[in-house]
Amino acid sequence: MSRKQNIRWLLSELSTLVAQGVLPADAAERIRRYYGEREEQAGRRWAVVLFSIIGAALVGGGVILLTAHNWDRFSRGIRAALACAPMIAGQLVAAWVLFRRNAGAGAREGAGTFLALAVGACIAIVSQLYHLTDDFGAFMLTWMLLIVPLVYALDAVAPALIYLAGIAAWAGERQVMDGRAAWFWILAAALIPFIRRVLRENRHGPRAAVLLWGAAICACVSTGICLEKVVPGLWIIVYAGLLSFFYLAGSYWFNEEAPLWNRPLFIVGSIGTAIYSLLLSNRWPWNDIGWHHYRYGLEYDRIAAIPDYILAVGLTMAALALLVTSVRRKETKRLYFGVMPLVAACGYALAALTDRELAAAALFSVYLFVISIATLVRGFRERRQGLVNGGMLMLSALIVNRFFDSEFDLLTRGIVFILLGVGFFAANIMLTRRKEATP
Amino acid sequence: MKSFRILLFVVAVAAQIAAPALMIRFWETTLREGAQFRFRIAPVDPYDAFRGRYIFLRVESNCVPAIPGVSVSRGTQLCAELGVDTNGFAYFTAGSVEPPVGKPYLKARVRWEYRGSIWLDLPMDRFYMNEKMAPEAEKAVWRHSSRANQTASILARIKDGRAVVEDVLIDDMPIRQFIKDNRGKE
Repeated sequence: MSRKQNIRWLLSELSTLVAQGVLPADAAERIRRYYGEREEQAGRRWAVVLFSIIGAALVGGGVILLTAHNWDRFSRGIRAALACAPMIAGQLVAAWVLFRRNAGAGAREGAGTFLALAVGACIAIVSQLYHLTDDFGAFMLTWMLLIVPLVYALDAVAPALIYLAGIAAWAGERQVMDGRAAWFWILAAALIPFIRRVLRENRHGPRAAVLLWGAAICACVSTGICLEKVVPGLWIIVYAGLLSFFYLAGSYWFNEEAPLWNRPLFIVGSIGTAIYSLLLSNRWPWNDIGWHHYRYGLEYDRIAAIPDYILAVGLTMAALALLVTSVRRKETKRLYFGVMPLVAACGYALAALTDRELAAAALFSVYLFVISIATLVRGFRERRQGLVNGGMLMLSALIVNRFFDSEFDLLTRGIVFILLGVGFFAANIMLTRRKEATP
Repeated sequence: MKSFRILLFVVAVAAQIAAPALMIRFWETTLREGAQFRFRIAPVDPYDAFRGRYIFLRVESNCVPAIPGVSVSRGTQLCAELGVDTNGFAYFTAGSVEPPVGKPYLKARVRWEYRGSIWLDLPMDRFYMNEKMAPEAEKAVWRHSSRANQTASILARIKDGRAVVEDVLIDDMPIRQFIKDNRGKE
């Protein structure tokens, strides 16, 4: 049960406890008031933060559109002043928030969001004023470097998310232009102290959840962008390490009882592992990979490929270190998903050394089958409908994928689809009955 | 901790103000002190959602002769020396890696090299306008940059290899003025 469910259960039990004489009525009332008010306050606080961010983003967006209108009637000086005005206003509001004692999260997030957008608008409009040629990379980099201090100064998550999205966009542009996108990791490292602080403050809180969702998604997208791809197929090892690291870190450092929304690393890691395994159960990712197919040419840079090797080794080692820790702590249930880097390394070696793509794809088909069954069994044992459905879904995806892979006739396909559907219904009915039968 | 945050904020605000201020100062200096050139153009009109509307400009003469002994690739920065033809329009006379001494030049990136010529990506590819006026301007520029009626040009200021588009001219008239004067006539 999640924390909220625990509280709801406790509040629902209070009247029974009072009626049975276990708890005095005034104590029950105090408990009701304490937990009821805390839940209500937390909800209200987050509504304020959310509305502040949305409001600031809307006003910021409106200001960008207004200034982009290009007010021909005004002189260049006035237009320059108009371009800078929203930024100056944002700075004043942010300063007021910073110097004000006990400024709420809503004010900090709102001020940070508005100022971050206004800085971008200001630079863009000044470029417009002088009809400068579009240099998206330089614009993004300047903008992001100017807003990253706001994350720390205002202790705000929203500018950190804007920064993450901005540096990912910058990396995309750089990779297309000159292939030097690996600087992304240096830029991303600027947020590490902030992420650490937010996690230390309350790793199960909404701030940590929002920040980690942004960071995990950004890491998944940017890893693919930044790889130089000189050694074909190295992405298989890199992504296996990344997703396993997320899964194991999410399991290791985050309470299992916390709601799923508050465990982004675990969710991204586990869903990512399932989807990734499904992808690697096909033959095409394993075609022409490994050192024998090393790429030469002007568009491939040996030096720029060094971060690829660092990522491949670093992420795999980090995931394996967490895996060993899980084994030592006798948390064997983590092994199934956590072992993916080793399976990927075996598949890679198989495909690269022997050119047996089919064998590597088959290895991942077996792996996906094993983790589906393990999830299904665990779901039944722990009577968790979500896990049962997850396991069934993975199994179905594997079968359907294999199905389209091979040339089965329509009759066979139809029967298998019906059997899978019946399996879903049967599993859910069984689990519901077992739950109802439990006192 | 609080004082560190305040210090960081002050540094951020100073940098945020300095960045556009330096841009404005740099380009204003170019506009004030740069030499004036006119370039012949060819148009299109894309839409940039972030910056409003602009006319896309393409300078007709945008290549330099290949530089003997120097191999260039896409993205290499070159200095293109400027000359003026008998009709008063600018064109590029030569390219060099280092800035030429005592001659006007424009810094530009190489697009490609082909049969003894280096084609350049010039830093004068857009002219921002009010979103209502831009489509009219685009049509006007298009009409006035055909082979039969090539009277549209870019007026740019160039200083130390940097260019700022000062205006777009049609029949020697600033484009905004031209559109206002000719509304309904063409």
